[in-house]
Amino acid sequence: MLFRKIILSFLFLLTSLFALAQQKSSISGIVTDSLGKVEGVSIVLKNTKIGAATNEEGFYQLLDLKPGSYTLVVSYLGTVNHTKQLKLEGGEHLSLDFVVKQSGHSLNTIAVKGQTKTTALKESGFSANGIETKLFLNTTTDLNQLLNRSTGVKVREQGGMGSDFNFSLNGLSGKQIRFFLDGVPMESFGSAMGLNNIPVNLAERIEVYKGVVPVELGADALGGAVNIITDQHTKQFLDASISYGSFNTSRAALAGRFTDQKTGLRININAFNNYSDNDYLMRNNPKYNAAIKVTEGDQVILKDARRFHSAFRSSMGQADVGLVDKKWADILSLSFTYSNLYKEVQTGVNQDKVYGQVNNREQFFMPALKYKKQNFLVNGLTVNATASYSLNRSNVADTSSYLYGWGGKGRPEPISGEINDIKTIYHYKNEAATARANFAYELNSNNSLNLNYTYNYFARSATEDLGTVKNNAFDKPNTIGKNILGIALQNNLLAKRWSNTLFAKYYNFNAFVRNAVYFSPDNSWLKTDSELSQNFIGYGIASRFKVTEQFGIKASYEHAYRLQEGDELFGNGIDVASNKNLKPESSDNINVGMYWSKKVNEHRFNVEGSYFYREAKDFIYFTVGGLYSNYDNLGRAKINGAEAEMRYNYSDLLEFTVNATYQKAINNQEFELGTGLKDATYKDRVPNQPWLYGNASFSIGKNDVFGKDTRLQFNASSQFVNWFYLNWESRGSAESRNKIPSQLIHNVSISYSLKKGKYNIAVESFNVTNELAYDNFRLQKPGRSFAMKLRYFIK
Amino acid sequence: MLKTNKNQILLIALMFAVVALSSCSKKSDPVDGGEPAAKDYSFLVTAGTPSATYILHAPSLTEGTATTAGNGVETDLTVVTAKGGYYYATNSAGNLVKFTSDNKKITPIKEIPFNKISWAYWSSFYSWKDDKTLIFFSVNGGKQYEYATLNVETMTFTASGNINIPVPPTGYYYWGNSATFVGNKLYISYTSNADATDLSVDESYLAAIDYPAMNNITVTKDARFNFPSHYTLHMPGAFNYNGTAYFLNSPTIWSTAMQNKPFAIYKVNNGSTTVDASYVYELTDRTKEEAMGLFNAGNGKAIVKIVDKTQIDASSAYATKFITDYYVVDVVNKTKTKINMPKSAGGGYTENVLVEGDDVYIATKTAEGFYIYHYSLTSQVVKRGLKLDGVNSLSRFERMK
Repeated sequence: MLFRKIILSFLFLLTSLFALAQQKSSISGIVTDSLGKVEGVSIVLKNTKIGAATNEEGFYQLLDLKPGSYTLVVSYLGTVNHTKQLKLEGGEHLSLDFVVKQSGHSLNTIAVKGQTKTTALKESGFSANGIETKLFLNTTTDLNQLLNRSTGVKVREQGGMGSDFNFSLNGLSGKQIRFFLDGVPMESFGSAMGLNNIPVNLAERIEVYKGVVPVELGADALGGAVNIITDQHTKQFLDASISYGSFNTSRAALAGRFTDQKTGLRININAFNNYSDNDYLMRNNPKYNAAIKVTEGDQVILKDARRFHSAFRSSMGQADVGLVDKKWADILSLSFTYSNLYKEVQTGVNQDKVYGQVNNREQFFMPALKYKKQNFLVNGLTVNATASYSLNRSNVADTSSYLYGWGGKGRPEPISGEINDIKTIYHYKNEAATARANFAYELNSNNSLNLNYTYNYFARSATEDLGTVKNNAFDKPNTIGKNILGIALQNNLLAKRWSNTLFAKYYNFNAFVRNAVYFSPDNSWLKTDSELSQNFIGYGIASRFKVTEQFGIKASYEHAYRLQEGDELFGNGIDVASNKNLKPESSDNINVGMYWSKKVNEHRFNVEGSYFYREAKDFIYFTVGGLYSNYDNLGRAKINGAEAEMRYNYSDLLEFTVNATYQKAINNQEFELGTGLKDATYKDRVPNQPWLYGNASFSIGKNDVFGKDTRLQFNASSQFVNWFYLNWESRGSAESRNKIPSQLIHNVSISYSLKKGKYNIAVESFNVTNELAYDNFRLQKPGRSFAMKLRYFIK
Repeated sequence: MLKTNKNQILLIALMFAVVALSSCSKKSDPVDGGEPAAKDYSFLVTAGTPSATYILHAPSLTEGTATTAGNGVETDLTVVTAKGGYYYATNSAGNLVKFTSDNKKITPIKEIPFNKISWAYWSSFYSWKDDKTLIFFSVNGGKQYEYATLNVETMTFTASGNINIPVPPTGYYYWGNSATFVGNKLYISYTSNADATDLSVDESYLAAIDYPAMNNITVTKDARFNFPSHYTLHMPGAFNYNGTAYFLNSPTIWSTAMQNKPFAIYKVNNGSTTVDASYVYELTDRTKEEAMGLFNAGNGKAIVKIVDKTQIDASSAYATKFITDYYVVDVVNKTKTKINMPKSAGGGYTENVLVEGDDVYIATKTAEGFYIYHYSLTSQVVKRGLKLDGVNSLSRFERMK
C-alpha cells in the first residue's frame, strides 16, 4: 500500500541521514531568564555566518560544524549577554545552556517575543498572517473579531455572541478552511470551543495560512488554515478577567500555570464563561429588503422589535498536568477539557423566520495527551505528538406548542415543531479521536525535513426522544476516518537568503454510512450500509528570497483538497441519497507576495502585500431531488485578488495599521450540469461574498502617566466592507437586485494598567456609531454596545 | 417517517412552482369591444449555480427573446399560484403576499399573516374554487388535513379549520395529494407512507367532501393506484371535464420507491364518492416510461409529459437529460397523440404548459436552448416561438394580461 511505502521510504531516508550527520559536530542548548525559557535569543559564532535564534522552548542548535575554535556570542534584545570561547572536537556534540537578563517593561518583552515569531512567519515562504493578541488582552475581543481585522479574512456572523458564523479566507470558506488549537484539529471541538467563544486571553497569537498550508497542520484544508497558539513558554502566570456590558453580556476568563522547578511538575488551568441575552434591537430596514414584520391581528406591521429568544451561554474548563524538562521528555502532559453550551435559536436562515422556543444544549469532554522532545534519539530530531479523544453531545429541543413571530407568541400548534415538521427532541452524539505525530529533523543548518502524520476518526449517531422519528439512520454511528501524511523538505540557499519548502501530502479517507440510500439498476431505491475508501495526493512549494535583510519576496503554490464527508457521499439514509461518484473539492492555490520593513530610530515601518490566485473546482453543492436529494460536484470558481497591510510604530507609544483586501471571484462553471448548455452566469462574480474590505486601527499608549509602572492605552479600530450583491450581478433588473449594504463599524477602548500590568481596567464600545450592520442578507448584527473589563495578571 | 429535516430545502424545492388543480381552465383574450389590450406573459425562472429566482415578462409567446440579463425581477418570494394578473406567494416570514410585477420590480398589493394552517411544501396544496376564492390545504405533520379559504379580492380568510379525514394509523403519514372540485364536491385523492421506511402502502384513497361546509366526508380505498399525483402537487394532476373528475396515478422514481403500479388515469363520476371501478386508462408501459402532469386542454383532452424511464439513474436525470416528450391524451376515448417537438429536459415537476383555446404553449429546455413551443390542437402543427435566454430552469408561466 502506498501509505506504508511512503513511511518506509521516509524512515530509510532518516536513517541514512542520521548516519551522515553523525560525522559533524554541533552545539545546542536552552536559554532561560528569571521567568522561564526565552524565545528569540540570538546565538552566533563570531566571524562566521553560522547562527541561530532560540525557539519558543528557548532551544537553539548550531549543526554541521567543523572542528576548531570558536567565539560564541549570545545576545538578547540587541544587547550582548554572554561571550564564550570554545573548542570543538570532530563529532563532538556540545550542550551549552545560558541564562539571560531580562530588561525593560514586561509588556515590551512580550511584544518583542511575539514579534520574533510573527517576523519569522512573515519571512517564511508561506502567505500567512501572524496576529498577536497582546494589544487586546485588556479588551473583550474574541478571536473571531481579531481575525476579522486581518488581511484576506472575512468572518460573517449571523448575530451577537455565540451566533453561527462563516469564515472565509481569500475567497474560499466554510469547510474549506480548517482550524487548529496548538496544531490539534478543532473540527470535533463543539460549538463552545469555537472562535466566537475563545477569549483573547487564552491565546498568545494566531497564525493564518492562506491557500498553502505547512504539513505540520495535517488537514484537508482547501483554502487555508488557522492555528491558535497558546503560551507554552512562560513558567508561571495567572491571568484572570471579568467583563460586563450591554445586552446583559458577561465574560469571565482564567488562565494560569504553575511549574515546580525541582520536580518538573507543571499544571495549566484554562477556563472561561460567556453569557449574553443578545436582546438587541432588530431595526426595520425596508430599504435593503430587511423589514421587521410584526403580526398584529390580521395585519402585518413593519416596525422595530427586540430579540427575545437569543440567549447564549458557553463555559469551558481545562486542566493540564504534566512533567517538563525531563531527559526523556521536554513536555509530557495529560489534559482534560470540558465545555458546555446553551443556545436559544431566534431566527431561521434569515430574520423573517422567528423561533420562540427552539434551543440547543451541548456538552463536550476531551482528554488529551501531549509529548514533546528535542534531540529525540538523535541530535536535531524533534518529535511532537498529541492524541485526543472527544465526545460531544448535543440536544436540540423543538417542542414548542406555539408559533412565534417578532410580535411574540402566535397561534397554538399541536403537531408541527418550529424547525421540523413534527415536534422532536434530538440527541446527537459525536465522537472523535485524533492522533498526530510530527518529526522535525535538522540535517544541517541549511536543510531540514518534516514528517507529519495525522489520523482523525469521527463518528456521529443520533436518537430522538419523543418517538416521532421512526427511520433514524443514525441509530448506529456513521463514521469517517482520515489518514493524512505530509512530508516537507526545507532548504536554504545563498547564505539563507533563499529558502524553499517543498512538500507533499497523502490523503486517505474511509467512510461508513448506515442505511445509505442508492438508486439500483432495476429502477428502484434501496438502502444498504455503505463503505468507501479513497486516496489523493496533494503537493506544493513555498519559497522566499531576501533581497535585503529588510525586503523579501515570496511565492507559494499548493494543489489542495477538501475531502468529501460521509453524508455528502452516502446521504443520511432519510432524504439524502448516495452519490458515490462525488469527487473531493480541489483547488490550485498560488500566492506571490513581498514584505518590507524599516527602522529609523524609534520609528518602525512595515509593509506587506500579496497577490493570490485560486482555481477551485468540484465544489460540493446540495441538489434538491424528489423523495431523495443528493450532493453533486457543481461549482467552479476562479479567484484573483490582492491584499496589503501597512503598519507604523513609534516606540511603544503609537501604532497605526491599515489594510485592505480586494478579490474577484468569478463563476468558472461554463456549462449546466449534464445538459451541455452554457450557464448564463459563467464569468459572473460569485454572489453573496464580500469582495472589498479593509481595516484601520490606531493605538496610543503611554507608560507611567499617573504614577510609576502604569500604562494608559487607547485603541480605536474601524472596519469597512463594501456592499455586495446577494445574487448574480448580471441577472435581473438593477432595481430588484438585493444588496448587502456597505458597513463601516468603529470600535474604541481605553484601558489603564497599574503595577506593570498587574491590575487592568478597560472600558470599550463596539459599533460606537450604532451603524445598522449586516454580514448576511436579512440577518442584522447588534447595534452599539458598551462593556467594562477588569483584569488581573501576574507572572 | 416524516421529512423532518426538509425545511432546509423548502425554498429551493418551492422553485418547482405550485399550480392550482383547476387552474388549467381555458383563458380567453380579454375583450372590451375595442382594440385588444396588449398581452403580458410572465415566467418564473432560475439562473446560475447556485441559482437565483427571477420573474420575466414578455408580450408574446410566439416570437422574440426574453432574457434575464439585466432584466426581470430578482425575488425570494415563493410563488404558490397566479390568477387574473396577480401572483400569490409566501415570503420567508411565512406571510401571504399578493403582488404584480413587470420586468423591473415587484409591486406588492397586500401582505397578510398566513397563520391559519400549517404550510410545508411536501404536505400542502391548493385549489381555486372560482376566480375570487382560493383554498389552501395542508396535512399538518402528515397527519391532520386542514384548509383556509381566501377571498383574493379583499385578501381576507373567510373560513379555516380542520378537515376531518381520519388521521392515519400510528406509524404512517399522508402524502401525494391531488384535489379538484366538481361543483360543490371537493375530491382529494392521496396515499400513505410508513414513517419507518417512507414506503407507500401501495394503495390510494379518495375523500369526497362537501364544500363549503367541509363535512359529509366519505373515504374509500382503491388498490389499483398508489400515488395519486405528484411530489407536492407543483403541477396539475387532476381536472374536471363534464362533471367527471379525472386523476393521474404517477408513481415516478422521483417521488416514490413503489413503482409497481400503473401510470394511469382514473375517474370519479359526477356525484359519486368512489373511484369508477370500471375505468382505467394506462398511458404507457410502466417499466419503460413515466407519465407526469395532467394539464387540462379542454374537450376531455389533457397534455401529459412522458419521460424515458430507462435513462433515469438519479433524481438529477429529470433536470439534466433530454428524455421528456409531450402528448395530447384523450381521457374519454383513451387515445394519445405525440406532440412533434424535440425531446426536452427539466420538465419534471413544473407548471410549464399553458393552454389558450386551440393553442398549447410548452416552455421547455431542449438541446438547442430554452424555448416556448406552440402546438395547435386542431392542426397538430408545432412551431418554436419565444426564446428564454439566460434561464436554467422554469417553475411556471402564465398569462397575466
